[in-house]
Amino acid sequence: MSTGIADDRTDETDGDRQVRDVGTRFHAGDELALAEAYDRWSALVFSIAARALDERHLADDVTQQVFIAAWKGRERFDVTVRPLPAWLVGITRHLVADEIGRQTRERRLQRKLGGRPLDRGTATTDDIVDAIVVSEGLAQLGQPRRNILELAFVTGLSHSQIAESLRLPVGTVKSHIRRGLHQLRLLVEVTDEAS
Amino acid sequence: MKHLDDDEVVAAAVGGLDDDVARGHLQTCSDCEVRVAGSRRTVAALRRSGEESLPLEQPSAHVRAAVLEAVRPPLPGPVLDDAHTPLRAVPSEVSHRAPARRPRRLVAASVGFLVGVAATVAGVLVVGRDDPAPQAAPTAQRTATGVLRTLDQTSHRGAVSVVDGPGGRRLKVQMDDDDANASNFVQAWLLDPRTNEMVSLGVMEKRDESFAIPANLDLSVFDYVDISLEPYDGNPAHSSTSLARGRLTPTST
Repeated sequence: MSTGIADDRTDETDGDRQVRDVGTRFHAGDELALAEAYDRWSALVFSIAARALDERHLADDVTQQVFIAAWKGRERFDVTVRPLPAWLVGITRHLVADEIGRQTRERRLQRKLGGRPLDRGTATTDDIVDAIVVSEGLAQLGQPRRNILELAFVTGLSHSQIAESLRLPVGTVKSHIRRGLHQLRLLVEVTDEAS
Repeated sequence: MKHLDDDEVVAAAVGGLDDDVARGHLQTCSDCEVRVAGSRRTVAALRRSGEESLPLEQPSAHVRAAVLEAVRPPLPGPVLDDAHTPLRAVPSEVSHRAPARRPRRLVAASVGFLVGVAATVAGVLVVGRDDPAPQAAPTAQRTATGVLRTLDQTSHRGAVSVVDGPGGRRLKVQMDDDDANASNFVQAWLLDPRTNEMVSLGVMEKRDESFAIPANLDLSVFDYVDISLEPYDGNPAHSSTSLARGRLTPTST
């Protein structure tokens, strides 16, 4: 494993394996896997939508559409490219961006018609969603990976400081950072796959 | 040249990539550049999101059933929703108009499509009136059957069948239980799940009933039976309380 491009499975956790298993069955069209995916990640999808859109009923609609769109497009989902929750988040990002775009157009129209200007610049949509997605993705990571990432990037400790405070080998800390950052990167990087 | 390994990608993202060979590679390799850019964006988002980590919230309970219901029948077009979807009745002598209770902004784009389908259905109904009546079978024949279940599919509620006889088509409904009570009655409908348009068949006076199906109604379009609980409120619209639903499947002859 020297290219680093392919997924490194050597430090895959039980949780990673379960996620991969759900994704494989989802891709194959197993309806139970859809129910399981909903039970595992609907709160993630809904929370992203609810915080970005600030309206619960819109977030409910987005959640419903995300899972239906994911199911309809399941043949395009590739478990070797990214885990299922990352793919769901990508679809959520699209639908949320569509909705914010629609709201922005509506506001622009209102302004033209003499209403008061009320802009939420579309340029920041990605930043808003990134921050939400990453903080939710972090919350989904198992321990000690979550702790390690928070200490490294939120608190700003060095690898050896983290190793010392958690009583873990430095190599283990680095491996969790590498793997955790990779997992979170898949959440922010999703491009047009399932709209 | 060798791609950056994951440790080097992390290092590059936080500005700590010291290896000159790796840095040189990064200048020329768009694959590695993409990975570094993604990691940089992730690290930036991580730093920003530090304090605003709130507990996850659950979506409304009806969304789960709506998702699972939507994927069950292999139908094209809009989603077969749960009881929260506005149900729209087809104008006809046996049906009643139901109000749109909860306009859904996100599906607004499909309204044009729905109108198109409604126009098509109306067209079929009108054309159907001019068609010669189908040759009545000499004996009654069962042409379709279905199983009634609760909307979340967890409980069996009854069975339905379409019988084609000399007097026309009839829908036989057998409910496992009688849900009527002092303040509510039970009503049977045919439903087009693609548009949520409904045609009222009549009131279930007892657990077993048989209803005439309007001669011009296309059962390949209105292929769901819906059993609703209706309050005695004088409102002829569907109450949006569906007790059971089931798809009519043609019997192979």
